[in-house]
Amino acid sequence: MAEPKHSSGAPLWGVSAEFDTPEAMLSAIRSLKPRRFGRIDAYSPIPVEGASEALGLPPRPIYPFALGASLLGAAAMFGMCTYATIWGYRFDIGGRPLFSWPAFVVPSVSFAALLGAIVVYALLLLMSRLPRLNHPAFNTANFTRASADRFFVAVEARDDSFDADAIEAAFVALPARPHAIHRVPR
Amino acid sequence: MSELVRAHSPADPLVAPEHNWSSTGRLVAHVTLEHQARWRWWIAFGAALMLIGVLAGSVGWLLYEGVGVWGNNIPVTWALDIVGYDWWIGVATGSLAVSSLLLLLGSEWRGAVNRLAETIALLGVCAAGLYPIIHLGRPWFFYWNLPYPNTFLLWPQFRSPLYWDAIDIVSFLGVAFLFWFTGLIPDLASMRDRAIERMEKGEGKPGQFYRRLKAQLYGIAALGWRGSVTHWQRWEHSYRAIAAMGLVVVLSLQMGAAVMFAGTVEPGWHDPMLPVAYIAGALLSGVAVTGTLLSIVRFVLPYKPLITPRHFALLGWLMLGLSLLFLYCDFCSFGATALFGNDYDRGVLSRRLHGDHAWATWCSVLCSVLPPQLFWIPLFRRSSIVVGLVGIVVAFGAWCDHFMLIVITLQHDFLPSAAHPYSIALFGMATFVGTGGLFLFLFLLVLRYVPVISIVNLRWLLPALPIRHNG
Repeated sequence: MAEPKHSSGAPLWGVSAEFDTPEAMLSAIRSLKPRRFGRIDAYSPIPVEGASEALGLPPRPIYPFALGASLLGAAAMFGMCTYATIWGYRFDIGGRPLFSWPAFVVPSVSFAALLGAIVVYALLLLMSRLPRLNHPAFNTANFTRASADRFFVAVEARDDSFDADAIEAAFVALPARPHAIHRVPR
Repeated sequence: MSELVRAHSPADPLVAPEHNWSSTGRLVAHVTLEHQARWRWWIAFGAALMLIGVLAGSVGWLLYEGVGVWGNNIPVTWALDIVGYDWWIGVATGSLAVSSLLLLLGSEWRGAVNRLAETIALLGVCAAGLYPIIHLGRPWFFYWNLPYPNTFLLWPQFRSPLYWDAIDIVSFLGVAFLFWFTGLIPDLASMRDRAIERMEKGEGKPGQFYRRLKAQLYGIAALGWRGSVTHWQRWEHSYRAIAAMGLVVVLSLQMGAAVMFAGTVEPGWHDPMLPVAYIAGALLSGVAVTGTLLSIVRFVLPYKPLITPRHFALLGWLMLGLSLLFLYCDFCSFGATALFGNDYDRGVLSRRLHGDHAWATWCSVLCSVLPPQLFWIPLFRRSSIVVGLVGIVVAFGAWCDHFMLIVITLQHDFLPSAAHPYSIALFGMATFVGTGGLFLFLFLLVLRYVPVISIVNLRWLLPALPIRHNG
């Protein structure tokens, strides 16, 4: 079978259906997912509860990384203060203890929060594969409404077995029928 | 009291009933893209520019002449500079804490308030951040405070509150920016899409270049967000995690401030109640400034359907509760000093109550505690004007609180010979007013180019559109 093409002659990225409600989007995902048409993703103006479970996305928890990065930040700042005052730059003032740890707590806690936030933000970008200037999903007709009031379910062509007609038929057969179905060029 | 317990109810809505989640997003984007309220905005912007002129003039004179122009002397080495700094930090930390607490507790009404509170946090710390640099005396050496590899092979003094302050403010700035920006990404994507639609509609009409440029700039700022399921999942987790970091840094800053004061030998700065009192005071001033700016935004921009009396009532309740907490903290620390304090502590207390600057103490107590009591009455707490005015008075009270705490203690510590009178100097006030101008300038730019009401959070509030079957 030849590589699937869009009517414009460009290779086909996928077939995308446009729904009015999150419920319709969820039921479309649930009914198309087991039929193995291709990779499914959905685009919505708000987070839809249950969508990642319906898509079978692996839970990628961010909280352990946040905690780990914070502890690392605290340890790093505390360690630097300790190193500098005990070994790096010994400064004996009237025989006071060199390891004056209570003075190191405030900057350590603040820096912990800073490093935690930076790592969380970096992970958000990394795991979402952002930033990027373009993506084939933006070729979908009417896609600007994915940030307003429409919910898109896209089946992506990953190999030659991609059957756009069968997917369109599956979308049409849904109980909550899509508002529109688009073939999306890459 | 019912405002607190009921969720979104048709009788007392958080969003005007004629709005659904599509129209709220479009309203916010429309206001931001079309620059409505143009002349009001320009008047305010002109005022902000004039105040920035005041800032430039007073900082220029300060750099030429030295910190004496603020009226600072020995022993009052910290006067309006640290008062202004602490006030801005209090406002910034208070509003960041409110926003992150509301997010972590899942308060559904935060939608109209959180972006504004986060903006105040970010811009407040920008205004505050000027002070630690310009009050150094030789501000061009400010980086000596930071640990960096240098040819002198020197380290900063890690036991010094100056170093803690440097790390605190950098951390707060970073966390506040990331919190603000992470919450903003989906809204910027919304703005990008509305700007594209506007560009498509305007094809062939004049001004297309700017419409296209705007769409491109929002597109770059949105980082390519497409609202896919993966994006939302990561975003929700990240937003909450950064909110938790925000709370940590707020506690570190406010409790750290109390530790910094306690690190000196000065009387009046060693009460174990102070860390709690600082947090209460910061939250109170943060909510107060948020309430004031919310009512101004509601007046200037056509957001009446989205910022409802219910929001003001909720902020009013918050201010009321926090003012009582503040009163409790003051009462405890004053009472403990009067009953158990040593002679020097009691000397500071008596100067606070009837010394030269006793006005600061009384303004602090009266302005922070009394006006919020109006909010026991539903009519007042539901009025944007009353909440806005009370917010201003409470913010002034918070400023007086910092003045009382810093100046009255420093003026007279242990030896009579070390006491020296202090009076507020013109350039000290001018610098503070100027930092207000800097805040206003940045705030107006944000108001102009960024959706100041969170589109995503508003949508969470509203019921979904009805399912429509085709054919």
